[in-house]
Amino acid sequence: MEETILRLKTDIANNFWKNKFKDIGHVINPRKIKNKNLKVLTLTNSRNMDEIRILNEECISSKIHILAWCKNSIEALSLDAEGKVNEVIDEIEFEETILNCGQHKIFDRLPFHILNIDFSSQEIEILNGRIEKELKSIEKIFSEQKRFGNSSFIVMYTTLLEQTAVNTTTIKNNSDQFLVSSWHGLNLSKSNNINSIADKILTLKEFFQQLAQKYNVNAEIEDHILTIDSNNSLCSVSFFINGDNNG
Amino acid sequence: MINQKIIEKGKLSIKVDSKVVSHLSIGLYKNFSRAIKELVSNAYDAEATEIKINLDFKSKKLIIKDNGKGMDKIDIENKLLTIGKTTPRTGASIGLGRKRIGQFGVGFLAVFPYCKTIRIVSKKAGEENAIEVIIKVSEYYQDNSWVLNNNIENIDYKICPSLLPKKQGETIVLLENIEDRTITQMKEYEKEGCGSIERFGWLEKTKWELSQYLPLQFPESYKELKDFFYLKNRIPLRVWFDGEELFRNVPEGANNKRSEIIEKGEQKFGNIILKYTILSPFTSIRPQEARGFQIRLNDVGIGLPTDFDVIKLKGRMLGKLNYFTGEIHIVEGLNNDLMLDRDGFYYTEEVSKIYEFFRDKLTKWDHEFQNTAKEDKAIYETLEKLPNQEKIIQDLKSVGIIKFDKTNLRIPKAPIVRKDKKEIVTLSKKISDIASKKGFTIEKKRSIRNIDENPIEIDKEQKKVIIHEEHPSLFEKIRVNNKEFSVKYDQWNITTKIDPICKLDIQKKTVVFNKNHPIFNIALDNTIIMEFVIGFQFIAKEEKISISAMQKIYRLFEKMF
Repeated sequence: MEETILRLKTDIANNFWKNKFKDIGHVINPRKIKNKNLKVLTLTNSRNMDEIRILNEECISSKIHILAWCKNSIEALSLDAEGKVNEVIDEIEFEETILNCGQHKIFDRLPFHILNIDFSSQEIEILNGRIEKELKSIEKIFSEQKRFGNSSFIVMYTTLLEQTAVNTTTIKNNSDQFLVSSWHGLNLSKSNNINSIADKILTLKEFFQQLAQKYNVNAEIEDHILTIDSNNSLCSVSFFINGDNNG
Repeated sequence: MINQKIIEKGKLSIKVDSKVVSHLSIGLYKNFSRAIKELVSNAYDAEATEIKINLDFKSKKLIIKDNGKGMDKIDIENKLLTIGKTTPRTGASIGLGRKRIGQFGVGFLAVFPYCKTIRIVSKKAGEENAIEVIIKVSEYYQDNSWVLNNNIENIDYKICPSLLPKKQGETIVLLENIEDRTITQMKEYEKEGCGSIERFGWLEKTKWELSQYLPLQFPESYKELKDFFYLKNRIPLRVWFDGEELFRNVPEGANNKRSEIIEKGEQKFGNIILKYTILSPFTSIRPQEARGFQIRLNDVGIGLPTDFDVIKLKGRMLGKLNYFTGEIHIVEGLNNDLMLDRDGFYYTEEVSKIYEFFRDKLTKWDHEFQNTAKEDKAIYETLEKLPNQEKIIQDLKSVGIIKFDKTNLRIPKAPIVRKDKKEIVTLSKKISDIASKKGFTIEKKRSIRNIDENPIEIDKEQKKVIIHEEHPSLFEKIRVNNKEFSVKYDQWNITTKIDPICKLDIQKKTVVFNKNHPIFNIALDNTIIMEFVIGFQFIAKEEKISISAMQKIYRLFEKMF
């Protein structure tokens, strides 16, 4: 499975992320063709760094502006040796850190122009509540990012959709913990445990659509799904926030 | 690469031969760059094709990752941590068509003086697991001296499953807590000027040294060198430093002037076979450390480039010595004559012959360059007053008629008035002489050219120089009585009744001189003669002096001088 995910990452990077990275680059620095120098956070590993290659090749970002996250400390070392990113954070898993370490240095690095939150690059452990926790960490970093004003940025959320059920009630409860005045609460069309990949994709899209409403942002949502087999798919959702600085 | 699950953990020890300790105490590895080179050499011997080096000042760490065959626990114990006892000979054949370049084990100790901890993670190709070893270096190297107690088991190791594909090998060496004084040295900024590597910043200097010593590929822009030194069946090594790929240094001149291959060849000295190239950018080589020949054994640099003390031993001043650089690759032999510090070879009869051979080469090329410089100087002086001079010079340089830059040739700014006798030769003739000497065919055209058009054109494909002889700028000018005349030359019989020396056309402001006339053989500069003749023509016309009287005066003039 690991090797298949690595291979599919190249496909997603070339056919989906690349265009989204270019779009945000154009919005942030419309007049610059080269050296757009966008600030990037990417969850990655040393075995496939295609998003970093694309960011460099397309002049969207450069070494000094890229912060990488790799939960395996030795993979992080290997990634560091490549010399393609400014720093590699090799703590525990991203979602755990974001949700439970309020003082973590990642919060000092905000805001980013690109948040490439690719959980599929981080040695996925198939557990109940995995996707629910991932989405909670996405909302947490999104809300932290929003503190810095109404600028444009993009969140790329990538995860493995497999057989384990996803509980929509947990997703709703998690999201509702982030209080926003006059927000009536997350309202997903599917209730309780969902198993099919189609239902999971629908839920993810609804989550991001309502995230935009909740935080009152003008967002464009797109997804890119790659089937691994009848039970597994790799799903990437782009959440493009059109802020005040649209060129 | 490694999951968190630990399969095995324990302690290991370093075992060092006492002879090695004595070598280390004499300072085998003099600086951090050399120490890094030793780690890279080990990776090369481990059949790595790609090596990534990353230096992080902020975190005081250096990481070297290679995709070689990797090590398991037995390799770590018997090879990496057993130093000096079974050191394989440099030059022994290994995989990928390579010959061993490192002194496995000894080289590894080279980095000890520069950091506090070394963490090694290695996965052997064909194995499922990886091993991680942490060496607290400060326990082995304290206060500038070695404390190498054999068999003390104080090196932690653990074995974990690897995420890498089974067939893939990998080794990562992390130097942590690099010494502050080393970090301070590293942070030294570039000083003004780039004539010497001592003026580079540490990082640039290290990159330069690695590019000079390591068995790297020549850059694609020097394909001829790459092809010449190519060894069939040898898989090349690629090294990245801070994300930037390093290539073999090909020294250039000031202002990045590209070096040209001026000679290449293969030579045998007894059992030694070598290949060599001599290069020059036709200006001083920069940095100065790159001047002379870089000797390589098994493709690895041996010491710094050298001129083999050519001036001292030939007893001759070589003015253009700093224009030469080159590579000498030992293809066969000399493996047993390499000094332990790998900066040179022990003195043998063959080594002496090799040095003498290259001293002769340098002397020969210096002589050639002195001559070429004289020729180039003559061209620059010839072109001095032509319009579009820069374009013509550029064209002549691009086809190799001119080799040296004007700035290297001390061309006088104002033309010096010559006191010696000037030959009667047109500018067009001078140019065609020089160009044909360089192997170009000359085409002379008599079509009328505008002053703004180029008097000289170069056809690069046909290797042809086109000279527009009727271009106004190619005529010599002479000023008499505040009037400027264009000078042309022709030949006619002096016994004819017309003026035997020149035909002056005051209206067209031209004068044609008879270059066969004996007056031009007298010991007086021709310009003075011509000025006198034209001046005298004016007087003769005003005073109505007959042609026969004029001829008498000219003959008198001839006799007087």
